Amino acid sequence: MTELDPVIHAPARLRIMTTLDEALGDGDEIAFPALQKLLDMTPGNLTTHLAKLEAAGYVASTKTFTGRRPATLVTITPAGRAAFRAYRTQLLELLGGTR
Amino acid sequence: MSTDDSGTRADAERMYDLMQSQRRSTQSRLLRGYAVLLVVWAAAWAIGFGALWCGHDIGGVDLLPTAVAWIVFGACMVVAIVWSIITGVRSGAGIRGRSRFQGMLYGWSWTISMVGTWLLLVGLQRAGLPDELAALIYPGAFALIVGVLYLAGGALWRAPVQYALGIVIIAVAVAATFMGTPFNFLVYAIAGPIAMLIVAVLLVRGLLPVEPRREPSHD
Repeated sequence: MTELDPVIHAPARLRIMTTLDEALGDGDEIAFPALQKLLDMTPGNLTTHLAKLEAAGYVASTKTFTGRRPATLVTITPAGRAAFRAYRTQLLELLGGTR
Repeated sequence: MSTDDSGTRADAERMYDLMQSQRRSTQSRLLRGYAVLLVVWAAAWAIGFGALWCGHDIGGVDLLPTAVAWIVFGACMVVAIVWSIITGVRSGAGIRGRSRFQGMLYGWSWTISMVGTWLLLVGLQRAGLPDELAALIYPGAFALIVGVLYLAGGALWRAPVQYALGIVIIAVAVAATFMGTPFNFLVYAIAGPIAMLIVAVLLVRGLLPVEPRREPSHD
């Protein structure tokens, strides 16, 4: 049995990956405050975990402007989606693979 | 080794539950606006068509003056339409990209098909459609279009609940039209809102797979 992906295997990061996978279609991006609202996380906490996910190449963020205000857009990368699905499959296997 | 295994299993279970509850909460938050909108439409149908049913010379019971019944009906429809537009504009706030475009086209489908239906009916009236038939075909045609759009939306977002609502609304439109005036108003006032409220509750509770994007096993 291989280890569960340590990047995803932490409650906060699993919640982030689940939300991004659920809320975003391919080619979609979500604004940082909107993501924060879906997760009920503090900005600092979310930023920290997003940085770890980004370092692993699972999410990508872009800085942009909406009007004159700076905004951060977050997206889940194809590698991130694949990793999330692999993690999910692994969990299901650990649980007996019936679900 | 066995303690380690059971520890891993308990851990996996905890993480699986966390994942499922997060999926459900994300869905329910993204769809809450639509659930509220369905409640608004349910109220609009119940009150609006209820008023027509109670309208003098319109419905089956004589409780309201004709003009009042039409004003109540019109006001209900206007409020619900305005609410729909606001919900449409605010939906997916913070999310950009392909699905936003998809949602925008879908939103415009509502406006275009509603205006199209309305113009078509005005054309029929100009061609001499009698009032009694107009009272049947107006709500029938609009309800049919609503049903069709729900079918399309259900197919587009792989949302079985929405698709089911489309089927029910089309069935309501057909049944109401077969009942004839004035009973059609009663059918719209009762059957439509019940179906919408059931779907609204299902959306909020996230009981059914509303947007099942991933395949269960072999991907």
